[in-house]
Amino acid sequence: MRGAIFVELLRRNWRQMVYWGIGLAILGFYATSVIPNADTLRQYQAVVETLPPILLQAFGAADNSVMATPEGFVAFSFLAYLLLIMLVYAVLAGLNITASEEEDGIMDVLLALSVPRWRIIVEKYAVYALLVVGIVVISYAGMFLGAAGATMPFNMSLLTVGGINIVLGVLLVMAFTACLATLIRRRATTTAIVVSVIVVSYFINVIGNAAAGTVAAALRALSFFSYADAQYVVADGFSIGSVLLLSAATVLFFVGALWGWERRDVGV
Amino acid sequence: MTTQPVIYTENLTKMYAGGAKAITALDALTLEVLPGEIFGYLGPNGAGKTTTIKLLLDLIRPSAGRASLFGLDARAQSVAIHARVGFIPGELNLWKNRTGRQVIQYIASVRGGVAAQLAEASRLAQRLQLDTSRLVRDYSTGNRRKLGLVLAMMHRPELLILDEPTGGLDPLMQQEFNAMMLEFRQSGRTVFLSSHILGEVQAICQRVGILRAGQLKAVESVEKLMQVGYRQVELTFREAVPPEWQERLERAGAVADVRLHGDRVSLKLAGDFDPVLRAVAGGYVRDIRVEEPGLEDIFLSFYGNGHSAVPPRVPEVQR
Repeated sequence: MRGAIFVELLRRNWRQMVYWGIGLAILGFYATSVIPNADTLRQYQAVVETLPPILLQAFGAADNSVMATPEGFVAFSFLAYLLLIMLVYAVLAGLNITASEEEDGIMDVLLALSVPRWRIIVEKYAVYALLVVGIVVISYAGMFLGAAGATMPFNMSLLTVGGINIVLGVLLVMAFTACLATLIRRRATTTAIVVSVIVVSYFINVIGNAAAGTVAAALRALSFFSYADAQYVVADGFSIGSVLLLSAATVLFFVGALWGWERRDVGV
Repeated sequence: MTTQPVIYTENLTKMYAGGAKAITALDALTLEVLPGEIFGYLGPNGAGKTTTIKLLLDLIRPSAGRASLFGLDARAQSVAIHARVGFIPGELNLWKNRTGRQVIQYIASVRGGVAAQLAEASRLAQRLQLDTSRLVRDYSTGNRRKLGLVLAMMHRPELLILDEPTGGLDPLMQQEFNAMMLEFRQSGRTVFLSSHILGEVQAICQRVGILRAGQLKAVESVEKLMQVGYRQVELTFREAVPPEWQERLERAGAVADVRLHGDRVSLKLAGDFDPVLRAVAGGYVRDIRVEEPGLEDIFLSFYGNGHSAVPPRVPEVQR
């Protein structure tokens, strides 16, 4: 029956979405509700300006002028971490699309049913995509709730754009993980590769930001974090190019997962 | 008009690449399983039984040859085939944190036609004395096997493909399983049963295929396999048997696998008794036991050092 895998997976995992969402919402609430007033932010910026750029990058602060705005402060203190935490979820979800059940020996049972292989990937990816959106929405609800009680006004649309980038970035990593998992099969190997790619990508971005005008800065274009950006977006605004690139890469890896899954032996 | 086989394979081959270490898991298997039969598929671990089943179900893809079920191509029409097949894998793993009932509901919903399947599942669970309210992780191996049977049969498939289905079942449940399979067959449906439990195959199968190192060695009716033409003979003497009898018995003709243990001699005899009795002349025979070979003996005879351990058939002497 069409949609049965989707419904079952959603039924099994919606609580997980709520728990992740609540945890992150508390973090978002805290980040917005403790936000200092404008004077304090300016003093904060002055202190930050004395720090070396590489140190700022290590903490996720891209541009110290950004931090002088309430949105910038939230992007620095919450959205940067939200993206990193959600990437952990993306890797776990990507593994759960095929690799976990295959390694646990359950996939034989599922594939022996009258269900085409592609539907397993499509329905599972759809569920996890929905859960990712759900977690980010709940997190944002906490953040907005905190903002409602804050002394300074927030530019909600800029923060929302940051959220869109986070969702797209997470969907991309999830598709990348799923694609690798269909090709490699093993959870541990897939996890190692994906985590390595994320870590390397993160440091390419950090070093590139700190070394303007060098090769390292040019290499930033190769970093996933240049596009799935939840901080600069607050200063630079919405980038349709990044959105299109993230979406195209997601589609590419998703199709790669379908292709890999359709053509290979399962459970050997 | 010929009957279309339920399972048909033609030169079905599966090789696993590995350069110099390439493995041929299944070598040019050509096999037919007819409607309404319980077909036993025997072979030791690594013989290629599970590989065959995975190829039939399109879980893995053949390196050469083809397979069809119900006349449908196993590769291109696998979804249509799966709707008509019930399957229990050799190592049945399920979602450990779900109850038996939840797993049944899930599988039923993926297949479609939930209400009818749940009714049938309930009937089967009752018959197998399976408590479906427990978590899968709390099930014993036997209970997990029962759940596997329920899952495989609850949509009333036309063909059951069972890979070592009865491991962990107690003897009573084993009997119940045999009864269920025979009922399944009586309703005109087909079972493809891979098993190590030779007694089970002997009890319920009509035909048996014997697989070794990826090659199908024989396909015979169980009845015919049982007539392999030798008997297991054990002679018990009053005194310890002299060692020189070993050679005398081996030269007796139509005798194989001679073993002397104290006052006993065991051997496989494919011909008349007279040469054996002449070879042991002088000894005081207290007892003679003659047993027809079980399927296990026959099975072993296909695997003993790659050669048949069965003595050659001795032609009947015309008197």
